[in-house]
Amino acid sequence: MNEHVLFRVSALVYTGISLVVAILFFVAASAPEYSMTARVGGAVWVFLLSMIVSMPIVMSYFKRRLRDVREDRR
Amino acid sequence: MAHQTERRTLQVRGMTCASCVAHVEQALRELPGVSQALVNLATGTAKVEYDPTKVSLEQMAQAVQEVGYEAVPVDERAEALDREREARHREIKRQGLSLAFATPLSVIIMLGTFRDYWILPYFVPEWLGNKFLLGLLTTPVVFGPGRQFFVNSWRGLRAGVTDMNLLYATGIGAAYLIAVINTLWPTAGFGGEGAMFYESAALLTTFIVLGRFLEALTRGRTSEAIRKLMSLQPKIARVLRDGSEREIPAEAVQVGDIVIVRPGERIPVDGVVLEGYSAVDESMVTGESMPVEKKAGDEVIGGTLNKTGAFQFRATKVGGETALAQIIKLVEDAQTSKAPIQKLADWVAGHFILGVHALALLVFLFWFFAGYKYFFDPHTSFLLSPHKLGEIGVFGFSLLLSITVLVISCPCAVGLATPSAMMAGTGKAAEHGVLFKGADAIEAASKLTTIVFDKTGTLTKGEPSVTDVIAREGASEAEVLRLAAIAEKNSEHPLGEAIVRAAQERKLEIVPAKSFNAIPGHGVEAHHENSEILLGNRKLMHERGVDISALLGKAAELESQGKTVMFVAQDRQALGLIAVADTLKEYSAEAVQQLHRLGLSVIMITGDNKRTAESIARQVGIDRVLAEVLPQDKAEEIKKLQAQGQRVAMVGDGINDAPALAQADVGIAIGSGTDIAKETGHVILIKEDLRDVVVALEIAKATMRKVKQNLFWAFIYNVLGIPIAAGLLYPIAKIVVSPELAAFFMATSSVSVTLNTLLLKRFRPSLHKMLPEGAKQPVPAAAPAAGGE
Repeated sequence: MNEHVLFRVSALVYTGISLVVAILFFVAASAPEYSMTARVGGAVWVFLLSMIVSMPIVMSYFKRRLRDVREDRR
Repeated sequence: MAHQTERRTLQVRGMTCASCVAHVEQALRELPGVSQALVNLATGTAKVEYDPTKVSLEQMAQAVQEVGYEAVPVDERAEALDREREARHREIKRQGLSLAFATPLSVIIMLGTFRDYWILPYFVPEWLGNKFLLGLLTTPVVFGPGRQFFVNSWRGLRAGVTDMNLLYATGIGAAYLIAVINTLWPTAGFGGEGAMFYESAALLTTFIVLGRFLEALTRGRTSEAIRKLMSLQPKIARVLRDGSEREIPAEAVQVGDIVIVRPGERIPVDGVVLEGYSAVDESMVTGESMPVEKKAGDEVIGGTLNKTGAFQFRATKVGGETALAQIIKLVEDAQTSKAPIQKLADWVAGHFILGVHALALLVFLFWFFAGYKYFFDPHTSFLLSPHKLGEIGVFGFSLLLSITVLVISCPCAVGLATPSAMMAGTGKAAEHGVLFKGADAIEAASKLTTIVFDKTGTLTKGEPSVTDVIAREGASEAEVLRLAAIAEKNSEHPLGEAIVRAAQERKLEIVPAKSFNAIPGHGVEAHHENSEILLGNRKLMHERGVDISALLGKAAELESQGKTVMFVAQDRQALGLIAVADTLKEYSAEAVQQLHRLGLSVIMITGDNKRTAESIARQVGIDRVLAEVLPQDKAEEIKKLQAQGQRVAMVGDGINDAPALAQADVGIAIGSGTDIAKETGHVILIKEDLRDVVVALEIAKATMRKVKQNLFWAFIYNVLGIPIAAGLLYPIAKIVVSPELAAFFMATSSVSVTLNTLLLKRFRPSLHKMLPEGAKQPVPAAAPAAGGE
């Protein structure tokens, strides 16, 4: 795995995680007291914050793995 | 294969907080071939240790750029300082312009937003409260001065890092976006016209820019110490070449050049005086307040100021080898290094941003699903604001609290808290001739419990001196000393040299003896003007039939003080005796007294016998002696003290005591003069004045006090602000913190830290407080006076 692939794979993973969290939020906010705007706006905000939280965690995990793989090869 | 390691400094631009430090360090450390990377936020530099066969400076700059910052290699220190100053001026100008642009607009936007409150309706026109006009005024603030936060956080995000800019960008961006939605589609459910956050977006931007501007203004002031030292270096030197006097650039002086210095000029490089006599002000380099006399054979230090006479000297050290260049390098290294407390603060700040976003998410979810339903009150107002939330919906309210948490959590001041105090502390120490080799040395020095002094060369002068001259009735002390000096005139024995030196100091006439004979283990005999002079121990006197019984009582008393006694006889008649001993340095006793005052335990360590050691310890005021310790065992003794839970500093001469200095928690090398680079130890005292040990400890304590105060100021706003911003008090108080107030708190936090650090510049060591500036006079220690005076 080179760095380019690493960035792609990790982007896929953290975007996926964030999407799942946002969808869960959207579903959880399906009660009638929440307007569609609140549900959509909330889901967008949750998606954004989830991205920000998961991005460095996922990327550093993959970077660590890449380093380990390189060291094993050496 | 042996790998060569190089050390270089990179100037890093765009760093704003401790998490930036962590990101730049991580980016550099992840490069193959980089063994160490230390980033200093206060100086905006990164010191890297790397293998040039594996990684280049360009690759490092590229790696730094990829995580959202700009890095350029620094070649020369002077250039680096110029560039740092230039970069700082650019930053001040940039943030100043942004502030000048954002402030009036934000005030207008605020007046427009709150025009219905208090007395504002009387003088704020109605049209100023128009939501479209407010949007129009806010847009250039957000995308002008606020653009930097979006650009920097995007750069960071692309590389997978989150920093303080992201907190600001999400805060400003979300406030602006909601305001725009509520302007264009008021019924969309985002709070409508009651949730116009234009003033939040504008004031948030303004306060953050204000914080940046103040930071840029104060940041450079802490590195003034280096700038002052650099300014000591004269640009021009006057040298003798081909028999004529020439003015050349100071950096062109070569070792061996004869340099001419006139009154009022600075000495361009280090050297040894060949001819002439003058007094030189060395205060700026060594901290010595009194001008130092210079005559042929004396060393002169580059950068010091020649006061009275003219002289010539031979250059011995030039360029990076001069004492001044070494001092600058040491101070720079110390300012870039990290204290353990700073590493902890950086780690906390580095992980804080992530934690804050997670917290903002939790706050949003709580208020969205539960908090709003159970606690929301339409009469809710903002803290310190007449603005009420009114018809804001569940999403708007939850988002507001979430954004405020992001903004108030920003650990902007944490990154500056420790390095700025360390820079000020190391700079202050350098002013007094005390060089800390690293920030860890300052932290360790502030926690010491025990000071161990080496005896010879540290507490004492390290060479024998005549301490007492006793004459029998009918003879004079001067005559006793003169005859002894005549007998020893040609001697190379250290005791003989001490006697000759004492006689010369008293300006006694010393003519060569007709004959001289050294008697090993006994003394010397000499012939002078038809008389025989004997100088030696009891054995010599007994063998030659000299009656010394009248002197024996005094001799025993002096010997009990650890002194070596020599009897003087002329033509087999005892004339008197001379006592020789290693004498205390001028300020040893005062230094020990001051250390006791600071509550420290003071110990003397020496290879000498117990009697001599105890005698010196009594004179200096030390109550614990470790005598008859071989040089190689000194480190072992330090280890034993450490095993007893003591935090130990060893004060020694830096070369002979190297293992003990290295073993100690803090190794203090004294009196290095111009040989700073050779010194081992964590702290270097340029002068031989032991009172500088006290100065070093006091500065270390003051610096660490400042660090702790700074960390308090940096975190207190976060600690108090986060729960309030998250709405913890909301169910009772029904007030929320507005994002702009949160930004104001954060700006105050940075300003508190930098201002608090600047107070360290006013610190004066206690010894200097006792004496008026410029009137520091030597205070004699309890050493016995030479010649029995």
